[in-house]
Amino acid sequence: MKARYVVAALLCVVAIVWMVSLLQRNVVFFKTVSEAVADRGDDGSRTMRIGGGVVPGSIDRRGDGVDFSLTEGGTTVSVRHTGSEPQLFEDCAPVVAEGHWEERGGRTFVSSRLLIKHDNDYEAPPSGASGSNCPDDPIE
Amino acid sequence: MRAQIGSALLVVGLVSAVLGGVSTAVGIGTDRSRLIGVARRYAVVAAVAAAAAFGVMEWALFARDFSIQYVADNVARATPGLFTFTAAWAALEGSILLWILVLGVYMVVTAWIFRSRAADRLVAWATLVQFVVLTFFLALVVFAANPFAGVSGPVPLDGRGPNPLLQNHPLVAFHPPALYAGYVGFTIPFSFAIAALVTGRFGEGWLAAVRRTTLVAWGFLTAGIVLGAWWSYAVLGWGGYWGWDPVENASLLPWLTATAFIHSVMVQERRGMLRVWNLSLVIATFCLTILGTFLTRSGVVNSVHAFSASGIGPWLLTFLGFCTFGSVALVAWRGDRLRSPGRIDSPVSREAAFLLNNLLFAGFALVVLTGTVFPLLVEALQERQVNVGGPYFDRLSVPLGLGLLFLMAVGPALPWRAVSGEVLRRRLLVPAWVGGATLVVAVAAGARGIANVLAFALAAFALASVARTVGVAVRARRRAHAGEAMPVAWWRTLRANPRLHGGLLVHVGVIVIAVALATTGGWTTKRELELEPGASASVRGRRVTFVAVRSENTPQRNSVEAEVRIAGVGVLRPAISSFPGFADGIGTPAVVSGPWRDWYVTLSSAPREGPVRIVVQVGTLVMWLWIGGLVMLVGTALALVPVRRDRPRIGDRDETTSEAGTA
Repeated sequence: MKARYVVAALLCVVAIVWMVSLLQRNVVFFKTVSEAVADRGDDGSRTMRIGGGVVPGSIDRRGDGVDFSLTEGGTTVSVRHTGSEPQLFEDCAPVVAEGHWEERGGRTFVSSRLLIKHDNDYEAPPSGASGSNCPDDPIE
Repeated sequence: MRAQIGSALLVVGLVSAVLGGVSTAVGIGTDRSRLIGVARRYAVVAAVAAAAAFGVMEWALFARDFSIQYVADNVARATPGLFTFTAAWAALEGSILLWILVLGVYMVVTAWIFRSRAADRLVAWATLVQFVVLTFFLALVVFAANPFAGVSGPVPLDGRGPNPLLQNHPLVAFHPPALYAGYVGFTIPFSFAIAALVTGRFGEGWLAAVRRTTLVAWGFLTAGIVLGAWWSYAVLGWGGYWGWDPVENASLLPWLTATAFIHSVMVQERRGMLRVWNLSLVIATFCLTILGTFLTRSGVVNSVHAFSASGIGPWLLTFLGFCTFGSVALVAWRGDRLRSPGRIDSPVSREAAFLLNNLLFAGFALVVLTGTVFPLLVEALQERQVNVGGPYFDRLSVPLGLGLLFLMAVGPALPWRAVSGEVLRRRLLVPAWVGGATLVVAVAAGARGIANVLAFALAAFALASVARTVGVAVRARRRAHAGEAMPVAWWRTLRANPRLHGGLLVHVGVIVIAVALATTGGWTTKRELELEPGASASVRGRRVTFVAVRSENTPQRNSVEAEVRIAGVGVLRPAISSFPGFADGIGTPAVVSGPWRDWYVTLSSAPREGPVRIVVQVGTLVMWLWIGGLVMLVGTALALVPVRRDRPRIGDRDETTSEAGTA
């Protein structure tokens, strides 16, 4: 009877350790484009999400994905996305890209997942900024 | 005018809830049963006031009374009737009003059921707890989130209309009310659990009292979750139905603990064991519904920064803390008297299977809770936004789900206490062979992924086990009543033990959903196409032709519709719609559902001329997710059918005898 409890307790501990390790591996931090660029040195090639607005005219579709520029807080980065596009992915769309920097301190963000998102922490590119004419985000 | 009537009705409700609570408390304290009897009338008054307030809200919505902020925010003159009606729960304040109405109905029905036992201390304490919960939610609408608050500034000429996603599909009329009927219903079992703790009557009496209500609430919650998945599939346009989104998780959490309770309750009824555990599950279920409300309704999910902006977040959090710590303190206080009398005799027995079932459900709830709350904690402590990726939930939920499938096959076949090898072999050998054969066939047919193959095999095992159990019962009945027609024999067999057979039918629904989950996960084709008008491409061997775009403008919306012809399937018209008052358009997928395949087309972009971009998704067995949900509901309804009186019923055991028998 005692041995049975010990085995059960051990199994529970293993299960919880497994859960925590999976949690750690799947936590993805979100940063706005300007924050992401500021932290670029420390982040290396870890997976994260970056949010910004699509620079008008920057969308360039390839066979298996799309290249575009994402801007926020006066900072712009280029994103190379592989995979499908979300609905209504277009100029000025508020986009969150999940992926990582191309190399340590690199300029290009390699994305594997795109989401259209209205989020409190993200502001659409202001009208007229860097030559773009995006309307202000009405949600804010 | 309407605003004043509505607000006054809410105050009437609040006052009656307070009076009802006070009168019950004084009645309990001074042992005067008349006072407790009067309290029930206050419940009726509060419920009627809530219903009237809800009616006034609908009246204001249909009358386009834009002097009320809620109306101005949630309907426009062009909003169609159905979505005007559903606007009553399209936003925070209205949804709490609906919550109160549902709680009032549950309370009145409960008071009616227990009308002859109202003075019983257990029932009286339960009534008091219900009044406290009702008072909290009424105070919430009166003081923090009044749906009848007036607009600041001049009355607008037109309102904004509901959120585009909430005026795009009729399911919005069914999904939230079903979910609330589920959430709110758990207040009743919770109140009886607290009453059992306070009065010290932890026997089976309180369980019998809440069995039906718990099942009803569970049935509604199940319906709400399945309808939510369906809504997500039909409206959101990403082709999926479950994304481990915090809002979805919030509805799954109480479902998991309630399901665990529905199973473990049988161990207590039969063997008197697991008393603390059952109380804890009921309490946890209720607290998780409050947590769910907090997560979904206070704006905390997107960002903690919205937390301070929302008026009701701190209220809900305080109430959640009060309920949780109060309950834990009660359990700790009564801890010494809660010791269960029974023991588990054998690890291979019905009660051991239930115990394992409960471990898996509790583990599942822990996994989902951790994944959902973790980002909030990080954000609150470190001011950083994080997201827990889907793989975390997928990796952990798959083995848990498979374990539950296995238990569904084995558990109902195991006898109580102990089992002989002979019985085990007789009951499980054939089902196990069916499962094994399915495994071989699935691999031979090209099923990929160990989880998918196991899901099919275990589903077949479980289904065969259910079929054997029911088949044996029907055969026995036919032997005893020769000459009974087959359907009659079936019906009477099911009718003889509705709880068992209803439960088994729910299992069949779950098995159907498990198979559908495995196939939609493993056999989905998704293709992105860029097509000129008149051009076509081939998807899964069928010609997909883009014919033309057409725009359609109504006062409610402006839509761009693409006509897509799929050979042998039909014409699909995915659209992108924009609604006045909302800058961003939303896509509307077009779906042709079949028992075998679903063709699902969304429009990514549709310029006036030139090529359109569409996504064509072919899913397998998607429809069976909804059919499985329906089967679960039919099973729940069957389990609620009263048993014929000529058979003794466990749930009916008298409080005193069950206490004497088990203590």
